[in-house]
Amino acid sequence: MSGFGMAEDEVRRPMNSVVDLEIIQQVAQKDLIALFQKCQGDKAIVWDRALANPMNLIATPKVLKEHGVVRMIQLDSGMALPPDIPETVLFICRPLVQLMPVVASCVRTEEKNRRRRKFHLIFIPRTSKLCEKYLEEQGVRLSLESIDDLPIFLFPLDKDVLTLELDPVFKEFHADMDPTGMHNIARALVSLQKRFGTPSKVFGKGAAASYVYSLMQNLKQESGSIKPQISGVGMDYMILIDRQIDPLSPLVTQLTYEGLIDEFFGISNNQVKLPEEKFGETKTIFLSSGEDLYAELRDKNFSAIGGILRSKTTKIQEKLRQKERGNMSVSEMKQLVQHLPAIQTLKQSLSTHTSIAELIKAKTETDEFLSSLECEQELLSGMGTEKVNSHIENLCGKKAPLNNVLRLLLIQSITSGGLKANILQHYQRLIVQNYGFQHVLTLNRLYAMGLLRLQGGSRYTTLRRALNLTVCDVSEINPTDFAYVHSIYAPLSIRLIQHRLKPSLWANLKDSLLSLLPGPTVDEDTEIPVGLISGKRSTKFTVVVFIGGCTFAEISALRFLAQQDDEREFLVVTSKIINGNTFLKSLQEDILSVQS
Amino acid sequence: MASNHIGTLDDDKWWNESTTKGFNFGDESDSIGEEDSSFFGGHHEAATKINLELRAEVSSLRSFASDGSSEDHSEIQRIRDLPAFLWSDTGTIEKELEKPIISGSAPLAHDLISRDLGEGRLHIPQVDETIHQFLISSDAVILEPYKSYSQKRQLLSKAVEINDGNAILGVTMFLSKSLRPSLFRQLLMEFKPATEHYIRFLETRNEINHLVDLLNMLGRSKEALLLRYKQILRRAGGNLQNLLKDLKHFSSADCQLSDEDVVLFINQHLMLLDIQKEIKEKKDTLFPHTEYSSVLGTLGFVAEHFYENTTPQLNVDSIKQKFNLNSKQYAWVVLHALVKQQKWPQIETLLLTKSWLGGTKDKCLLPLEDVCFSLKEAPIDLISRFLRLIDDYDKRLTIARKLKCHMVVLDVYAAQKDRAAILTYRANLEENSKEAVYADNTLKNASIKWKN
Repeated sequence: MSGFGMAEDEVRRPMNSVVDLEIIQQVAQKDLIALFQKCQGDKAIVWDRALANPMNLIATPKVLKEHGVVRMIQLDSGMALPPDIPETVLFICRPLVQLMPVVASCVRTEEKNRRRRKFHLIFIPRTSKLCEKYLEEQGVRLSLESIDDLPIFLFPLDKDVLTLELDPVFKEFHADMDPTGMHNIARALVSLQKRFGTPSKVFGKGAAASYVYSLMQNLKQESGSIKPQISGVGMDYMILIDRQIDPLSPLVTQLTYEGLIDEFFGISNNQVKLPEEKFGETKTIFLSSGEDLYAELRDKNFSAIGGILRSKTTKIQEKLRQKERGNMSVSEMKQLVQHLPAIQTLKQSLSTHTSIAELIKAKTETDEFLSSLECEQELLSGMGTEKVNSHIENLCGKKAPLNNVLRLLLIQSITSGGLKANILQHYQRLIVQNYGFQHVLTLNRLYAMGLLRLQGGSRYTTLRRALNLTVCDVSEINPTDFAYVHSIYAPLSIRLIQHRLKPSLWANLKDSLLSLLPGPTVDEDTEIPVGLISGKRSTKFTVVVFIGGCTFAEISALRFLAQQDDEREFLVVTSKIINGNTFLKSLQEDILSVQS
Repeated sequence: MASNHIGTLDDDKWWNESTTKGFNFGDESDSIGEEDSSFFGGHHEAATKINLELRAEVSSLRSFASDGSSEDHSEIQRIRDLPAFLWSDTGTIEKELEKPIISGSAPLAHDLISRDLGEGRLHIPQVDETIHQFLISSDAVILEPYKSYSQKRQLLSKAVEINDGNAILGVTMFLSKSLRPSLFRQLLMEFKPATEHYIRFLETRNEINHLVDLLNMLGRSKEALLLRYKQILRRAGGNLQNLLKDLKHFSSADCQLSDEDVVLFINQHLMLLDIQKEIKEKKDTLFPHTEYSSVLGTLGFVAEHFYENTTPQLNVDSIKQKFNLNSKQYAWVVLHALVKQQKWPQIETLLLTKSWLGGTKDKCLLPLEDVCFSLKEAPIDLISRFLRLIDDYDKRLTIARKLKCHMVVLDVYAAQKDRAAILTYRANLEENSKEAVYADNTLKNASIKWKN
């Protein structure tokens, strides 16, 4: 867009002008299509639910259609394939054993019905022994014409965000001690470095971070060394953040525009389904920085959204009125006509986002939301963390969704540095009596993972002071600190990054900080021979890897850091975009779903 | 998977720790395996003879690593019940037998082997090499040629070192088939990640009995209890009878001796199921127990349908005591049930405690604001009674206005000596209604010194 309506606004630098993530999408798409070409003619794809959406970012339905995909079906337990599909059927799955029974039953049903089918199975990103074993045992392995893997690890969500779409990494690694996900992350990062160069400095904190880093070293040895520096792109820093060093931040309510959309409606691979009340029907909306207005709004605190929407709407109306009145000079008129398509787009954007903002406002104005937010902010400020919180008790009594209760409970457990034994018991009884005995399992899982803890030295209090985690007087409209993303709380993860990148801040804090946060530290500085450095390296390009997921608010905070520092740009690589609810969901025991 | 294969092997082969069809990573493994067992047969013969008697006893127990699930339970139990010398002794004998068959460039230890190797019959790649193959593709990895305990240990150690899920699981599975249980257990204890992978594997295969035994062996009894509990919940689906039966059995068989705190909850769950069973028997209508799976949910149902019931099982008071319920929680649930049944007088008894020692004011168990809103369908007198307990005038006023308790509103204005407010408010009241008259009387009250 030509900048119309943006002229008086702040000038936002591109979030990442260093690497072009489109290449990743193009390569992945090419690989996918190469697999398609192995089987001729029309084909149907049976998608693993969790892949269907992200694969959209790699190859759109249109592209798939061009390559002979005439039907798309979702893989669901208890499903049978419809009879009217092409002979060639491709199952595209993650390598998860729990999906294999569904595949097996589909294949068997088709065989029972004597339908001529050619089945292929594609695993993304790699095959798993366990899955193949299962299929063998079920006697369907031979019915599959081929099993392939498609090494797509990274899905570009935006110009500065890549996701691996690995959901339960945090739980798998820290509770099940299963490093499979780490392997995928390491592979993804190595492939990224092959394409865009090796960083000269690496910083990582947490068990998963050092794990991934050592895997990367292994993988690099396997595949021959990567040149330390590849021309053009200069990757200055790679920072690996294990979610375990900061499980608090995802639990805190996000108060950015994008964060709130995610909290209330759930953004999945840039798409959000909105309820019918504003749009007449359930509507799926595509959200990305490709839309100028959204790019401007997404990272702002929700308090600032109303004002921006209003002033932009007024401006547009003004322009259009001028045109109607006709009191414009010819050159003005000419300019307006030129801008008309852009104005139309903006108008459409404004109307959509005004509706979304109204939907959010209705929710943020409820007592439930406000009282929970107040409770959360008190706990974050270190108030009343020692005793049984009456708001949490009331939530239980009112049968609020369990996740709302657990979020606050975990925030209390973390900010208090662990609960007293009798208080923990009290909460345990409260939850079990209100929500059912099966949650003994939920609570035990949280306890085993250290999220729910018994008393023992409050690290949070020290960290809060050292890193200035709560900031009371930050402006939500014109913020000077990224604490605005949660109104008063600055995500620990991003504070750590901020301090690490500033040598002056780091020197003071280094030792105490690293001992306060759990897990080993990776801190390496590879000297790159001067001769290998080519091109200008004016921009400090930092890749931040979140192992175990990150929130939209954290990304917004990083973008804020980039805006503050003219020379720094970030690329976020995350195992998944998470929020408090999805984070908790990935940790819970899945009993009811198995029952049904 | 060749699940029963180990069971059908003859003892010699088993003793040699080589399985012909253990965990096949490639199609060739069959032939190699066959070759090797005859190939190494002579080597182990002497030791085999020495331990003939031992073997006879142990051989029946080797199904530890096989796949049958529930049937294996008793056998594993027997393994654990065996005298200690069987565990430790076999281990040391194993170590004596342990000979480096081939270890890359190292000189060959046994001339028998070197002779055979000289004939070029066999090439066993280095452990490192084999494990790294997993990183490329696990299809082609063949583990069967590795015979000795030390090699197997090396395999596992290397797999754990490179942190590859497929490699760790592949090797662990191979070891579970080809090693004696005692040794396998030792290795699991030594290599934690392998344990976790094996546990996960057993869980995905739903081999819970196996897994529970393994966890108990490793001293992780709480996890074992939780796992069993989870299994029971899953298996019962939504069936109350089955759940009750399974849980009862579980509680008496496994929980009795445990001092884990989860046992407390399991026993409470059992108590709750007993109550639910009682409800089902008493109530003709279908009682959807899954919807009332929590203590308080059930309490609500009992309060709604059996409030005056005095039988000990189905009585709200006895439930409160049995589960040691928090008074507030209890009051909330019962309040909602009473509102539904419009049992207004009972609500007063439930919530209000007369303060004694001459106090004139009642005390309410729950936050008054919430109580008043819960009572919005109750007779106005009852709501007013609770409203008047709110000390803060402003708060009382707001809520009273919302709930249209006009008398309370008027009283607040009167107490605030706000004549103008009463006048305005009166304008909206129905003429000649009780409230309008009350407003007029208030206005006429000479004892109030109006501020306006």
